[in-house]
Amino acid sequence: MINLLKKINFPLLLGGILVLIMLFAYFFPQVLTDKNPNVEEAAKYIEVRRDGEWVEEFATRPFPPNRENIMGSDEAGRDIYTRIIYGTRNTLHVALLVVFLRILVAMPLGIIAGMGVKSVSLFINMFNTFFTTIPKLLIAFVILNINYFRNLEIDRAILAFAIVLTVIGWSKLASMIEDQTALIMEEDFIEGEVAVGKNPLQIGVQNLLPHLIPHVISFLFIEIGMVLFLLAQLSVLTVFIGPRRMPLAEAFQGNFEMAFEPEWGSMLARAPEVIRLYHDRMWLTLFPALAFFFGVTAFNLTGEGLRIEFQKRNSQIVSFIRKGFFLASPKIYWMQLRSFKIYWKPVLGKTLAVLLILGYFSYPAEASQHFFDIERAKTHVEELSDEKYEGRLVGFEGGNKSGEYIIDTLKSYGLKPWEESYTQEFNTLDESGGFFERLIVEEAYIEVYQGEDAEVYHINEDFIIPALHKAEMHLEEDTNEAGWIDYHGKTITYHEDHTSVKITDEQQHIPLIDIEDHGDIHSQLYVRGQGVWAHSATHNFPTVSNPRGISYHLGILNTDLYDRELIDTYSHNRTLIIPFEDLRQSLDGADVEMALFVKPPKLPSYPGRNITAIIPGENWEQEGPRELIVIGAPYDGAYTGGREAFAPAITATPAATSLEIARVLSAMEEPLEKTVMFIFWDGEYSFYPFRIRGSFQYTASQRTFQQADFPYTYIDVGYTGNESVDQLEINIMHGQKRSDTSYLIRTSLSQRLQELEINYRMFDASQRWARGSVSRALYGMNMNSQFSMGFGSNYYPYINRLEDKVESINYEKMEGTGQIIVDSITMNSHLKEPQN
Amino acid sequence: MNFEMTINLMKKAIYHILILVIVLAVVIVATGFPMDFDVEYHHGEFHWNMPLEEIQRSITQNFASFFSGEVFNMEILSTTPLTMLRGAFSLSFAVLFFGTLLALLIGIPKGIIDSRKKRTAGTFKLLQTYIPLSIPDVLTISLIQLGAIYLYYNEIAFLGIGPIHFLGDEHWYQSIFPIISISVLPAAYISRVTANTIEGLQEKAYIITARGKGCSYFQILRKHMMKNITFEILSIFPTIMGMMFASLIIVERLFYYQGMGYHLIYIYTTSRLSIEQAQVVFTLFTLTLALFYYLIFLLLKSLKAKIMPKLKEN
Amino acid sequence: MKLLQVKNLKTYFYIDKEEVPAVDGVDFDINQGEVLALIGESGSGKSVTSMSIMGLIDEPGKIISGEILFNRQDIFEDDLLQKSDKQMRFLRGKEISMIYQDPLSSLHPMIKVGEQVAEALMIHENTTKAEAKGKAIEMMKRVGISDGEKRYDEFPGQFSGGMRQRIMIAMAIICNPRLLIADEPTTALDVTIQAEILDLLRRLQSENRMSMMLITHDLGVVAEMADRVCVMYCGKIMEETTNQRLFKNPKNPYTKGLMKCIPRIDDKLEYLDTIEGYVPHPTDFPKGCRFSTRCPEVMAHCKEELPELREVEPGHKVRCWLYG
Repeated sequence: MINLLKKINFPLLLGGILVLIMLFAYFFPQVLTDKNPNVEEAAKYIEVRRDGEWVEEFATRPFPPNRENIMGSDEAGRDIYTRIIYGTRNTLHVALLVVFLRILVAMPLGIIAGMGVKSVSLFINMFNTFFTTIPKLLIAFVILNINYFRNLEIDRAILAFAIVLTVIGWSKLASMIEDQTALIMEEDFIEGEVAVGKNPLQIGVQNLLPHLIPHVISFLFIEIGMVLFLLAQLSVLTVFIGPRRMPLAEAFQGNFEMAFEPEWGSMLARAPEVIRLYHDRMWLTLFPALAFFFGVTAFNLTGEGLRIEFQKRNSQIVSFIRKGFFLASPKIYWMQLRSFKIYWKPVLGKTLAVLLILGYFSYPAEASQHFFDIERAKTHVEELSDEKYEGRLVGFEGGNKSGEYIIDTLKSYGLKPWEESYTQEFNTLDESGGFFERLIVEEAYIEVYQGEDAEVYHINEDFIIPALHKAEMHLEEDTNEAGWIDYHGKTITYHEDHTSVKITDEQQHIPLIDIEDHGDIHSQLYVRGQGVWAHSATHNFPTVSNPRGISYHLGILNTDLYDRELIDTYSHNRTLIIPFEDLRQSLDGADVEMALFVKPPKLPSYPGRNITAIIPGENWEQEGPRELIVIGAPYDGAYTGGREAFAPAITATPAATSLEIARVLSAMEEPLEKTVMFIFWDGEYSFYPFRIRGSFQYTASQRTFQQADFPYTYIDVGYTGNESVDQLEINIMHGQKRSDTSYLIRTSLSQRLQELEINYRMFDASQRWARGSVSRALYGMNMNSQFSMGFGSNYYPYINRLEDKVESINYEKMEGTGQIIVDSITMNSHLKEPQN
Repeated sequence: MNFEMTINLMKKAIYHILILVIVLAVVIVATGFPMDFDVEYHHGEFHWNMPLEEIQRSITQNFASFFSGEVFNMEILSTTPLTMLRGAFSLSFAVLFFGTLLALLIGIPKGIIDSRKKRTAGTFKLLQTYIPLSIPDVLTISLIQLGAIYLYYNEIAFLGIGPIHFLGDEHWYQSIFPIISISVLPAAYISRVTANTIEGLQEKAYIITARGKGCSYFQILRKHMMKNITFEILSIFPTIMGMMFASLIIVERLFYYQGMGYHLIYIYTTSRLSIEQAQVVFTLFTLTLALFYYLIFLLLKSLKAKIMPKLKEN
Repeated sequence: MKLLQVKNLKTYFYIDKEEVPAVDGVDFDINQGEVLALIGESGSGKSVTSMSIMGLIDEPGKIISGEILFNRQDIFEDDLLQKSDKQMRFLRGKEISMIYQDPLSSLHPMIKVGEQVAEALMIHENTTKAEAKGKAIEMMKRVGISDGEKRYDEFPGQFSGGMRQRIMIAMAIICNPRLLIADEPTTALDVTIQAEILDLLRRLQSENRMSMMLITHDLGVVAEMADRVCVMYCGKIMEETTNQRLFKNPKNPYTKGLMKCIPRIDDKLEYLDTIEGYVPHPTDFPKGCRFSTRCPEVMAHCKEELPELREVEPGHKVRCWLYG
């Protein structure tokens, strides 16, 4: 027995067992823990052992190790043991990827260097010297501390870390391979091969590799251990993968960010603080550190065990590996094939194995159960982009008509209204004469006086009016005899430093203002003007006053952005003109006399309307809280009435997508468990203030249901842009009624996206620097939701531009958007099954 | 002969100095990279937050401030970079030096002990050689700190050295815990190398010869094996040093021990220094680190050469 | 007078659960001032025998039985096998010394040659370093290394093969041992150097009145140096006799076969003679006489029972059924 014990390669055995445990945690975390790694518990009764007995105590987070949380919880109240188990996947991903990439680089270079190429050897050496002089840790820290890396979401972060750590650390592995290669090359049998006349490549592949591979395998394992080590060190310096956010727990206590994704490194990031301030909370860092210890030990032992094994002369494992090579060799296979009669058994066996492997990998992912028909969705886009809706401006006839179309379509699919009505109306006109009311200026013209001649320029052909002084909206008195509101004046150029210009003569002066492109014009106006929420004093338009004492607020914005872009008109505390090419030239320079004539604008005559409809699910009739899935999509757009060259389609895409989703879901034979509610937002395409937006109206004052009765998951359908942007942006947010399954919904979502081969980028919008463009509806609806997802962003460079046409929409992306939503609702078990 | 040797020596000296200069230059370039560099993802596109010229300017600025000596006199937080450096360096040096010493003191005897026991490859005993190599320094430090905290709060003192606070560096004896922490992993490596060397040597013919002469085990160790062991430890020393430098950063950070490692991270994350100041100090510290390492590296190389004399002549 | 008596020495090796009887019941004596040669093929157990005498057998080998009686000046018939390692250390290098086959690897490459020579002195005798150095230089001169003072400080790598062997000899006899074990001392050397070393050994042996146990596979060396010879095969002694009788009248078929293998200058042969077959693997020894698988004079009984080593003439022992 003792002899047997002596013969067992203990490091290999123990290391192998540990690695297997880790792999088990990687693939089947649910088996090892039944909790969710992201659920935050604030306070609860815990059972702890005191004097050998279980005693119940009340505790707030972070919970010390207790009966339920065997390793305690972190400061946000998340179970540490669960986070370690789920984190195995992410942490191992990084480590394995790093080592894989390092081998890719180090192996060829190491072999070449070991076979005698001095320059490569020197190169490796230089790298090594440099990276030992300056510790790798420091360099990795400096690079990965750049904000960009800190804010990557997890999949990209893993890749980025892997690349950086490979570039930094490949040379050690390379020099180990080089040394081993050199050692093998010195063996006498190599001389024999040279004598036989093989070229270096042949020697390399046939003679060197079989001897090298075993060593490389053991290097590999040890290297994984080393990378885990480095990751632990980096995380102490707060460099870890995964997005961060402010945990609700500590929002008012400390100003730090915690990691969102479970990952071992992120759990150590608070180590210095924990040690300094909370030394009676050592479990916060002790268990993650032990996890790293576990991981490093597992791989180190396995690597060392393998190394020992390969040194043994009659190692069974080595012969096993050699046999493996023999079995898998294609050459042998070919030879066996040729002597099929004799070798039919192994040939059959191998062929079968290959087929099985191929079959496993090419096995298609589960097909979607319900298909999103892109052609139908396209017809909706075409319909809604039609001229008759004039761009679907909220509060006006076109917008109202488009709402009717949507309601009719929903009815035709058999969707029911929420209570009585399909619509929820809100005011588009602020009686107090506020700012940023929508207007339509139908008629206006400008006369530019050159001596005796006057050149006439017409609105929508030669210029647009993005802002009209609010007073002009209502008062008839300001019009002249012909019924026009008029302005006369002389242009002056405007310098940013001047906040006011005092003119001596009686003329009104109209400042010509150059603006930079920092986003859309209305935010410029908002910042520069004195809006309802007056801000920065540095960007004011000048107040031009003359001896008559009247301040005229007319300005000309010199920019060429809007020749090709559609923009709405709002009420403001000044009137602004944006001239097009020809007019710009005429007005160029100062002291040009001009006059503007405007007919009083049309005001919104219809209310804004949010359209809601439901597909009742199985839970519709039950007592108690009924969970909903709410799908929201904006359907309004910018006014195209005056500018016929424009036929923008992007703003129609959310509604089109949503309508098709409604059709698919309503056509299902088996009802869903949860009820699905569709909301079509009106007025979303306004930028400020939010009170005109449909989603704001809804969430602030007109919710159709109580959250307590209807816990919901919100899905926002955003815009689908055109071909140039083919990556689907997805924003994930966690509502206040955070559910246990939100993490799992997300992972299932990622998986399905990959199965559908959708090119996507996922953002966790609860991180401080939200990178995705998040729709405001999503923000609003997220508040009381269990979970929210936004598909598609609300920003595209092509919205409402000349290039924005029905034909240029990226229908493939739209199809992907629609399909993933349908699949999530119908196939993602974490989403579709109610919690209770 | 002498002339040749001198030429050789000079060649080597020039080679090493050249490498040193290159390394230092690379360091200045790398640390000259603006610290607030960032990449932003804005509306579907990546942007650098500063143009290339800015980066170049920052790097050349870094060179300039060093060569002009301005770096030494710049005022930062009511002290100069050089003063900061001196303080931090002496603290770190103490930890590194005594840590190395401790590692040798623990590692070599342990290695000798490990090699004494009869073993065949892969036994249970081997585990205890490999497992200490796998302990992440975070864990080591956590455990030591736990111990330190326990001692501190129970007001236990040793040899008249009062209860040692487990954080900070005001008193000399507060370097004890960092020294212990930093020596664990190197000790494990040293013991492994020692044990491996001894085991490898046991079979060697000249060891059998020595035994045949009647040498006791210790005589063999001392006279015959020590040279080999020293050589192997010196060979592995650069690796150990690299490890220790990295560990230094972590150790100092967790013990709030304000040596070089602590400062390097502090500079990066604090807002009390302006970007220019931080840059300069960071460069200075990194340069010192590089220089320090390089000098030790050269020292080790020459030590190695002394032990293996004249073999090269054959 | 008998200096060394080896009685029924058995040294077995335990490798991979197998028992390898390297030395399987060996008996011989060495008299004072005598040169005993131990010859045999590789793997016959010669070196293991010498290492057993020196007490240098390590795991996985073990001396499982036997007596090695050494006639020390103060204690007669001291059984070396009963001694602890510490006790053996007193004897090694001082009373019993050994020189090895490969002088290059048997000298420490990083320690000065002179120091290695002087080492045994420093261990066993109460001398100062200077005295020891003096004696070492003297010893080096005695073995034929002139320039002793200068060469004291040099390293083994700076010497040729023959010189190194001389150093080894100097190293071994500096304390004037009574028994010198020489394990294939000339195998690694050129033929001309061989002769020099053998001369040296003979000279020293007679000057110091040292007994020598000479292990070799080379019958030429045996002819030159040995007084008496033991022939070993598969861990057992097949024949033990004087040098002359071995060459004139070998009795054991194995010995006869060995003799035939060496061609004589006046032989008119077309083919070189060999012994048929291969040396059996230690784990696979045939039942009965170990040479039975290859013996040209094999009889049925040989395969059944192992013969004993019997004295067939005074001073001539043979292990063979041909002789009773």
